[in-house]
Amino acid sequence: MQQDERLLKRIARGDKDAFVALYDATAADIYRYLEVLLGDSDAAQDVLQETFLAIWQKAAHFRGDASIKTWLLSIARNLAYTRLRNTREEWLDERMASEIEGEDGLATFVQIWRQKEVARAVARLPAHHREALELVFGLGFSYREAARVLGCPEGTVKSRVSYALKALRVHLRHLQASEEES
Amino acid sequence: MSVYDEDIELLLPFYLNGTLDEVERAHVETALDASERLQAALHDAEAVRRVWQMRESPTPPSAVRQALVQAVEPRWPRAVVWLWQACILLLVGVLVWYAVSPGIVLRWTVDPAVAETYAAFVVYRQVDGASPQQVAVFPAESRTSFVFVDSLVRPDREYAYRVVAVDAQGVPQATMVARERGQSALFYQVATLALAAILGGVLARMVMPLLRVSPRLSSVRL
Repeated sequence: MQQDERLLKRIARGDKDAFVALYDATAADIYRYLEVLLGDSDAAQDVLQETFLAIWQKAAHFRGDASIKTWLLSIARNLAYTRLRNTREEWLDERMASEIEGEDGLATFVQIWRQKEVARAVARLPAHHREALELVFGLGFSYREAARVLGCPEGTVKSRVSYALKALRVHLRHLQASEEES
Repeated sequence: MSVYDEDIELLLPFYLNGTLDEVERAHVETALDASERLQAALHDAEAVRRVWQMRESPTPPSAVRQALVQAVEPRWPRAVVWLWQACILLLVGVLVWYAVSPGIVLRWTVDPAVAETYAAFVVYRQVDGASPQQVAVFPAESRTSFVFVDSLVRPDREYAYRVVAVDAQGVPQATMVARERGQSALFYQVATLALAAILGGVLARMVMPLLRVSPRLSSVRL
């Protein structure tokens, strides 16, 4: 924690090496979270850039009352939601369907299909449920940390994860049943 | 399912990712032992978690990193930044110095009954017994109180001031004399410099981001 704070202080002073070190340590997790939330790698890359540029300019504003990763994810989330407000999400299913059709080779098809099916089920979840699940199962956050990132009560985090789990559970059961039938 | 079970079920994802505290963990484990319904929910949650973690874990393209590193490249050499900060400090220092005017203060008042006799007041300063020099002239303008601040005094010198009241023809009508050591203003001078340094430092810090980098996303788009 203190190391992270020192890193941010160095960034606030314009230390490029500290900026790169922070990027290398955290970008993968933030990118993964953004991809789950936005459902689009191009958009996730854009928002990842915006996030780190914001960090470069606002590093001095870090108050240290949460972990640095929580703070970074909060920035990324705000930027992502700004973008989501102007974007329709339905396109995702269409894009994935076309990707599945474009795949060659029967051996990998089932595995890809399964991954895409799971991804499609995830994409169907509301954005705030997707991100809650990613925070908990992807990034291993506690409900307290997730509540800080999402800016909502801890109870809301629990219920969002629970809802997302139930929705995915139903989908996975259907998937399992259809595989057993075939 | 009881309300208790519902509350415990909400904790299952956090039980699985190992972030519950000891008390919560103990509650969950006790409830799991007693409820097949919760055990099934845990099993389902674990299945989702496994699938979730089996998903491809994307990594950001290296081009994103390169673009960001370029975007935060300092636009100005460090010497220019220091010079800029020094200029801000100097400017703020001068402004604060003249706003506060720490130094020797002369105040005099004029009897209203004879105020019309005087056309102006001429202030002379004598440093360490050297020849006096005129440093200010105040037109009388029907005023009865005047203030002169000598803000450029040194602590190691002694200053003598003479205020000469003159009539419209420039003939002296009255004279007042005062002496003061420059050291008496030292505290205020140091305090003013400290205030200027603080204000200048804050201002320099505020404008630093303008110098450091103002990256626009368009400049780092892939």
